Amino acid sequence: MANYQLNDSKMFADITDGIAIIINSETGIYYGMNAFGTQIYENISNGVSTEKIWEKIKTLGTEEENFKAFLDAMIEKELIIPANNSNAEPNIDENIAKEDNFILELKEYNDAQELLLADPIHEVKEEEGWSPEKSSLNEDKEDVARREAKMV
Amino acid sequence: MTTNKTIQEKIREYNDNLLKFIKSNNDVKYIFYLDLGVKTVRLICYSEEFIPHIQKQLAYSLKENAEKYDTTIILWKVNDIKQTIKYISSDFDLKTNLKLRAELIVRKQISIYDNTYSKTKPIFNVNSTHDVINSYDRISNTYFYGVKNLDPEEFIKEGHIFVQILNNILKTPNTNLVHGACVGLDNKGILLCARGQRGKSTLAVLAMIEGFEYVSDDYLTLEKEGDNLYAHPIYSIITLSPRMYNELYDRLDGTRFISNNARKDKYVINISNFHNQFKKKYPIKLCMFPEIVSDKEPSIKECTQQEKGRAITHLIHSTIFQMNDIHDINTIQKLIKMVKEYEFYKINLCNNIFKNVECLKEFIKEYKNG
Repeated sequence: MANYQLNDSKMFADITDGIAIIINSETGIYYGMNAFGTQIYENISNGVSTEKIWEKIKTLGTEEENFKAFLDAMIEKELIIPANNSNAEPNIDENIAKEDNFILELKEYNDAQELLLADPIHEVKEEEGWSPEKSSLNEDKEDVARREAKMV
Repeated sequence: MTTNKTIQEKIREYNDNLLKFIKSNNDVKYIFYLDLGVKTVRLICYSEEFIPHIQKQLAYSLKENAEKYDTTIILWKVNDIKQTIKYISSDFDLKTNLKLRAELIVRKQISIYDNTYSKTKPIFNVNSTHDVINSYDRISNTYFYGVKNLDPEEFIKEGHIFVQILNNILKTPNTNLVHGACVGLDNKGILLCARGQRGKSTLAVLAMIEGFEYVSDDYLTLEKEGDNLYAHPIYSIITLSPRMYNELYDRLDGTRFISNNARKDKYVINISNFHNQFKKKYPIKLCMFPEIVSDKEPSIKECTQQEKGRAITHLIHSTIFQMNDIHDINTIQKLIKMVKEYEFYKINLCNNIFKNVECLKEFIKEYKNG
């Protein structure tokens, strides 16, 4: 039995409208999957073993070569790493698989590395005016709460 | 969407669709006007939740009617930021546009620039950290401002309500929004120039409590008219640290506590009960640079050239940083021109805030009388 999980030390994953994106925070490369691929990734990250997933999807018509290539690519790109065994059962929506012709897709994109690796734009804070005044944080909380309540 | 559209055409389409989206989900709840002295702004509220924030923060400037207005701000409550932008354009379909989704995930915002508008400020911006959508339609001169969380303690984290939009609106060749304080006596206005933590707000607030004429402790509009410089109030709120709030507590009677800004490091207080001391088009007579010192008594003396330079730097630095104008050389030059001919004084503030205000009062009473 082989179980995997998201390599969350360097990867960030998001699923929106049934489509997953996984971003490598060290390289700025991101990976997109089709809806069927997203289902498989979700099952993997939910602790379903790759054997159980294969047992399920081979009956749908997915080619073993396609499944292996999809899995190998995720491992090779370090999107997923080995995880502890789990008894989770697969949950595959056949309609979604059918819409993608039972083909699993994983695509790599490197068109936003500069953007994604640059320091995020931090909002300009009122560095001084709004910054925590440490001494003031030690106020008597009960007294402050009492005064706040009175002023509302 | 065809790829040969100009950025201006795209932005126009986004804004048209955004307005359709807002209208399809909401009715107009209220229309207000803001009389900012140099500009009048129409506020169209599509969410009732905005109204108390506007009424508390902008009470002095708020009007029910106006003969004319210069610009419009459309306010609405964002329910689902992804759904909203998806409606605006297929460009923002995060299911298919993975690059944009990656940008939103990593940078927490989507920023679209129109270089003919500004190279440094996005004309369309989505911020997923605070769930805020901002846009500007140049043709109708309309700003869009949508916020998801309008709970008082969350909303106040954004700082003064739509101050960034007002900064854009108030930017003309002779006017600018400024981060500074202004109080005075007998129409002798003192512009307090300093970054935070230098006693500027406390001095201005206590001066107001002690009967000074008042424009602002934080944000105001400066207007250059010939050789004269005038200050206009915008907000009816002050912000105080808990320590200062406690110290002034007995004298703040009648004010309305609004929020503790969720972190309890600043209290936001409505000062509508002091509106009779607010002054519009208030003439600036001098600039002052506060500094907290360990002296037992406060003192005021004319700034050296070096100190004047520091004071102007503080005024400009805090303004352009808070307004995201750090690359706006025109604003920097304009602000320098506005204040450079003025006399600058340094006020050394002691630990006794009441003595500081008394010192300021004595000084301004005697300042250039006759």
